[in-house]
Amino acid sequence: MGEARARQWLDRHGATGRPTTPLLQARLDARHRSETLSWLLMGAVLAAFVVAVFVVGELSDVSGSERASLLEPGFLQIGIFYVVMALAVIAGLWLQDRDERRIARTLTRRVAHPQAVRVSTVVGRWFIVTATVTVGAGLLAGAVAAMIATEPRDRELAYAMLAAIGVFALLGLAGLVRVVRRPAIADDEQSLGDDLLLRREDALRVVPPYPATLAAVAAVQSRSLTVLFVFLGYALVALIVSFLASWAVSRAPATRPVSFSSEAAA
Amino acid sequence: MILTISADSPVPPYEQVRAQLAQQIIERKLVVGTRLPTVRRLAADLGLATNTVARAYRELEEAGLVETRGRAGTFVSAAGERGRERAREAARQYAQTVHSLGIEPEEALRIVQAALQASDGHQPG
Repeated sequence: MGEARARQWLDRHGATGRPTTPLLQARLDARHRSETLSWLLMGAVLAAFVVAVFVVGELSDVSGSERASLLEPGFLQIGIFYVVMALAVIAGLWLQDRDERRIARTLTRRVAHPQAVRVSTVVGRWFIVTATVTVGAGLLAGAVAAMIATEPRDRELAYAMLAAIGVFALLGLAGLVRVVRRPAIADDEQSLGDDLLLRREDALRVVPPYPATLAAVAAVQSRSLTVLFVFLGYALVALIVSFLASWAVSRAPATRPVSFSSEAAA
Repeated sequence: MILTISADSPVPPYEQVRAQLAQQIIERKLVVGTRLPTVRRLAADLGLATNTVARAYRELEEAGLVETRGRAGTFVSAAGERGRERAREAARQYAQTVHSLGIEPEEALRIVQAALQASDGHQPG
């Protein structure tokens, strides 16, 4: 399974002719386990939420229609669920870090870059674009919506949107610190290049487009057409950028470690 | 361009780090002004203790190949480059001298080699 996963990863990164290595297989297996854990956690939380709504409904006098309305995806419910999803991703990364430390201990040969690598080089330009759009444009959209809103309901949505993006930004930052700080795990030049690619893929995982989906929900719930367009516009742009980033990073060519001629700091 | 540490090597890890960095600086693969990774970062990447990398950096600094600029980090020093420039200037002067004395190039090279060997013999350690 690990061999097939590694083969698929190399094919996707344009290195079809390159043989897979036990190190790459082990690292991709660790990512697979990490993603499985994230999905299991999300599934468990969703199931617990549904069960809780039914249990509360049974124990109280909540009618069937009211119970159903509790399960309707409102802004708050979706927001909470996305926060849980973001936390699940961080939990997955924690498991992955643990697995990778174990993998690193088995290596008798380790390699590293002989010069400092900038954070922007580590995370890649697509991460920077995605984070800027998701957080920066999200905050801008929330602020604009708060300013132009005439209905109290729309203003509340705008403030909720700003708060949600703040929470996502903090969670993203926590995940990013883990991704950037973790040691390189490589035993030759090629695997050091792979390490950089894997790190870029991990970085994108900590900035999922959840705020964009939240903005779409806020847009549907808003009462003013202008606010709707602000939220919808942001949601559309953030989703497109996020999709493009995922596509580009997952297909970035597997190369040797980056050239550092531009990394030399004066 | 990479740094490699082998657990199987009889060479101590700090010496592996020092020798490879020194070689890359001398061969100008690491140009003057290049910032080296922090001690902590390089130690983590290579699976070494921070003291091991710190020792390698200290020895490179004593050799004038790198310099520490406070919290900004450790950089490839210009001192090594200046040293090589002085050596090239001395070589130019030597070439003019042997030419004016009418000494053949082969003999001039042998004189230099003998001087270098004598100099190596007087090196401490």
